[in-house]
Amino acid sequence: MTARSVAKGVLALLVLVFAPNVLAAQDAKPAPARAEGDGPFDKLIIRGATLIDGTGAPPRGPVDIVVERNKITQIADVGFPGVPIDQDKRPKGPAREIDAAGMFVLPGFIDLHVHTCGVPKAPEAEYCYKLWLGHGVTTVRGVPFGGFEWSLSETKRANNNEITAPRHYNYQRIGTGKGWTGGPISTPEKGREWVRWAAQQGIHGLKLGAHEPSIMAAVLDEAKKLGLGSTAHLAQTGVAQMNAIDAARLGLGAVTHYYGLFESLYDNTDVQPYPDTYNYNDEQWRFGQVARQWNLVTPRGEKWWAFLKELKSLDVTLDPTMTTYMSGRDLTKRRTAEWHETYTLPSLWDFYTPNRTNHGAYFYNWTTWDEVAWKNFYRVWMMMIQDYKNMGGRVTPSTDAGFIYNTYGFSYIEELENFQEAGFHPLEVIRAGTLHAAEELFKRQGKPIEMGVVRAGLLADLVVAPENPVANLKTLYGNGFVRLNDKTGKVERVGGVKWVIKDGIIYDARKLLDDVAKMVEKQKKERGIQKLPVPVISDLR
Amino acid sequence: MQVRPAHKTGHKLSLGATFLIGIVALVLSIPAPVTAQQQLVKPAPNRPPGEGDGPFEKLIIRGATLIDGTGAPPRGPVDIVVERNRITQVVDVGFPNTPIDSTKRPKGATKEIDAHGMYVMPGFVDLHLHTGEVPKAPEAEYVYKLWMAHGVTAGRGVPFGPLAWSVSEKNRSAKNEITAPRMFVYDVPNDDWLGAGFKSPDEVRTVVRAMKQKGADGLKLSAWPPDLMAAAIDEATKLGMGTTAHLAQLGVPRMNAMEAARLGLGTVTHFYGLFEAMYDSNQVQPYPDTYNYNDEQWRFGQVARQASLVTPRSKKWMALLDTLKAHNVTLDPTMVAYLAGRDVARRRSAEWHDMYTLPSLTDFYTPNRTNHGAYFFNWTTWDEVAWKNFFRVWHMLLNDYKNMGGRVTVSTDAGFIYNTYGFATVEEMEMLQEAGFHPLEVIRAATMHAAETLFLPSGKPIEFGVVRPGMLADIVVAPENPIANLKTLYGTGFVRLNDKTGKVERVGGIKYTIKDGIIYDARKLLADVAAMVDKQKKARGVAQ
Repeated sequence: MTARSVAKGVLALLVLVFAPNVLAAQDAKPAPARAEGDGPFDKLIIRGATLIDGTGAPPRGPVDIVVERNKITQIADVGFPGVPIDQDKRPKGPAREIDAAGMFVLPGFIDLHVHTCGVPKAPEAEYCYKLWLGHGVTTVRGVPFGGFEWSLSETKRANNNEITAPRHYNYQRIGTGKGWTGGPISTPEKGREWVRWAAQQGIHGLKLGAHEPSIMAAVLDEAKKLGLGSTAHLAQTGVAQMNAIDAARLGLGAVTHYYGLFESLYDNTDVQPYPDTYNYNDEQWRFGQVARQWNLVTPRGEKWWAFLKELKSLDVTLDPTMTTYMSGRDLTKRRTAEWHETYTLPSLWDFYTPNRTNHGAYFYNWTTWDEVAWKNFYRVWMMMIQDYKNMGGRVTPSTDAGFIYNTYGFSYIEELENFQEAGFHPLEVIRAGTLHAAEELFKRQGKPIEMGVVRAGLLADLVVAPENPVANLKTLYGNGFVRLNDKTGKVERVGGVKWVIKDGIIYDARKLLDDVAKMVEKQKKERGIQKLPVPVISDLR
Repeated sequence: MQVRPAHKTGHKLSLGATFLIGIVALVLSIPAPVTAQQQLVKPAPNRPPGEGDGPFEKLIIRGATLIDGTGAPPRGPVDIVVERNRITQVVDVGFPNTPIDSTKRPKGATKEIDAHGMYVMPGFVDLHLHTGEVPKAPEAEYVYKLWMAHGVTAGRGVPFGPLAWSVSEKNRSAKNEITAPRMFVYDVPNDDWLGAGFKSPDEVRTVVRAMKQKGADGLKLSAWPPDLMAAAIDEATKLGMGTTAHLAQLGVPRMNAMEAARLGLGTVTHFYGLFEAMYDSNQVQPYPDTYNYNDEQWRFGQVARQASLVTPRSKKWMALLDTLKAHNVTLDPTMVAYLAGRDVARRRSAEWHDMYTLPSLTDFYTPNRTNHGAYFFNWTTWDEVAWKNFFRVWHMLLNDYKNMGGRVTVSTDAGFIYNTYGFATVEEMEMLQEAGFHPLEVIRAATMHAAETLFLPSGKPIEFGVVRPGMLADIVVAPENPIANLKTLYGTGFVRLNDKTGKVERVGGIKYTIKDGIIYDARKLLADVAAMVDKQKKARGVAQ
């Protein structure tokens, strides 16, 4: 099989297609043994920070946060804004200290929808991991990370801190795994068998498509018995018989993307009324027509509220990955994002470039009409997300990066901004990416969360940021935020994440991003290019 | 008279560049000082041989699909006959997918354009223009060529520059001595942005009459005190002059769009005065306590916070639109001027800047407390979200007005806020489509409706803005279908996958801009602009 067909197989697996019998994925090179990070320490004290604890509580500070080995053990209020701190009342050493005076501490971010790089677009897992950690992401759910066995291995290495990577939660597609000898999942019983087998291998949950209803019911039921989680991309090819409400009633844990949501509440149709020349395998059709659903539903109509209430009663998490589709509403914005030149690999850039066989590279002829449709779609989608949050539902910021000009790490911050645009207060945004995402990960076993909030007893996954994210989420981008310095009269870049702490180990976020920049630089040198290629303006015919 | 202290007013103002202040103040509503000495933008050079071809005894544009500007659907193939500077015939010459019977085509051409497969529209008309400033865009040629290259064949300067300068450029353009759109000269009476220097309505009338004598076609007003505003509009109307107003925050509490419309104002430009006419629970905008108008982040940030002060489609909303419609007011939103508010990173990284934005203009855009419009001192997610919400409500207002038969036009106010001339016209068209306009409505807005706005004060029928016999030959010829995709009109083209090669390529742009029967090669005009940018970069020793 050709390299291209391998790549196609990988992508079909990763992106969106519910592919029952995918070719073996060509996984990224596993991360090298960890050379970075400092700790864990018997005692680490983060001093003088303003705390945003992840629960939705307002910022407070100064606080000193004590971490012992990989657990938070104490949060001490040590004073009042505008008043010198009484040194006698602070937690004492001996300890490794981080001076976080004037800085902001948050729980580490959790991304519930990731894939780990892959050949050829981003051939080394290290690239993804460092971009994630460099943006404060300390936990990721792979849906899947890569091939079954590869994912198991990287999950173990990440969770043992053998590599520089976020915590891994390993979700897999049914039927995958070289060790699975049962063949295709053609019956409910086969589905149950696979779930039992996969659980024994140590996966955390299922990534589902819109499977045939009897199979969907069986695997969800079996997963529930075994304490496995589930998240589903209810793709167009199956959604007519398995939309979000159908899946929720069968016990699905999370609905990712938007697939299956709109289809649950059409006003005047049951199947989407596609144009007569629609072909799912033509991705401009596929991604263009999604947006045309925006006026097939009535926001805040009867169906809308009934749907959301039922999702809520079934404790379903919405995991929209809005950032994945952002190019749909403004392709030029995404293509010209200022981080690409420094942080996007040329191989990834190639993969993004419009092409009928690279999945997600669907901008063959992406017009004003398409962008306007997506703007309208976002408006309705955001309203739904906001309504669900306001009724107490869990909505989580995730990225599905690596497609569609959506580069790892940066897209997490973009997603946070999308949440604010949808109507979330930044405290709600941060809660979505921390406490709520952690709850989604832990609910499968009915256990309390172990991370996602900064409080004594939880794992020490923390973000230390120099700027206030409640005032401006943009300051969290790895390339910082451009602000006028009134002292010099010049603009300058500020912000980014300063330290990211995972499992009590301190990583210098800037250093991680520098490593990424070097990887990009190296690939450019190998290719003999200085800039990412774009059709040059002077070539206009 | 209220004048900003000189040390605060302009960037590097030691040049006595009060023209600069004047212009900027007009645009962004700062009280402007009376100008003493002005550093003028260099007028365009005389049109050299080879730049522009024609007019011709008989020019025939052959085989095009016509979008006539009235809202009529595309039709073709047509042959369009232009004699000297007038369209004399539009002939249907066949049917799609059927060979054209050449015996039935108009004959006797002294010049032909082969436009088979191409699209013909009226030249675009931009109702809100300024012709650069020193130092940001010191040569009028730069600005004119960007306009013409994007199909803009007529425009209203509000103002282009000082009155005498503008009238001179207008006359040169009318005689086609320079490569420039047709110019309609509007100006601020006495450069008095607040109207604070006028002692009586009669004084205003006197000044307006003098402006008419000096060649002004109309008035650019702000939110003046009611008696002065009434006098200015009334006198202008009597003299057949037009009026357009930026109803700035400093005066809007007693002169909103509803009030100005009742006084006979012709055009409301930007959004100023619209929202203020329909607040639910306020009369003056409830500004934060530390608001300061002269801090432009406050000024432009708080505008957007009006989105939640009004109720779309409420009684007040409909009453405002009904009043505007009853008084035949044109809404000229210049949305593109504010686009950076909802996504500054996108605007800063627009792909045309490197090739077509002068370094001096980029300097001017860069956040700075004294360069007007460079207000992104600390522009946060909050600010952008507020602007996204504001645009949504504003779009709804414009679309509702269009749907009740009101005139909404495509204008740009370029030269500020990462908003570069020419490209902005196409961005504004996209904004109208986003607001709910069909591309045929967008093109009508940019052509017939804008032309009507310009001709209304004179009581005469339009002379351009529609492609039909009898009209002046102001025409755009584009290789791609703008109804299918407005993006194809950008001077940088549109990136599309070529299924034959499997590679992406750039297509589109405008092929020819015809003004007054003279054919300009739009790509050539852009190449001239790129050379100007290149020259300045070389002079500065910068690569990007």
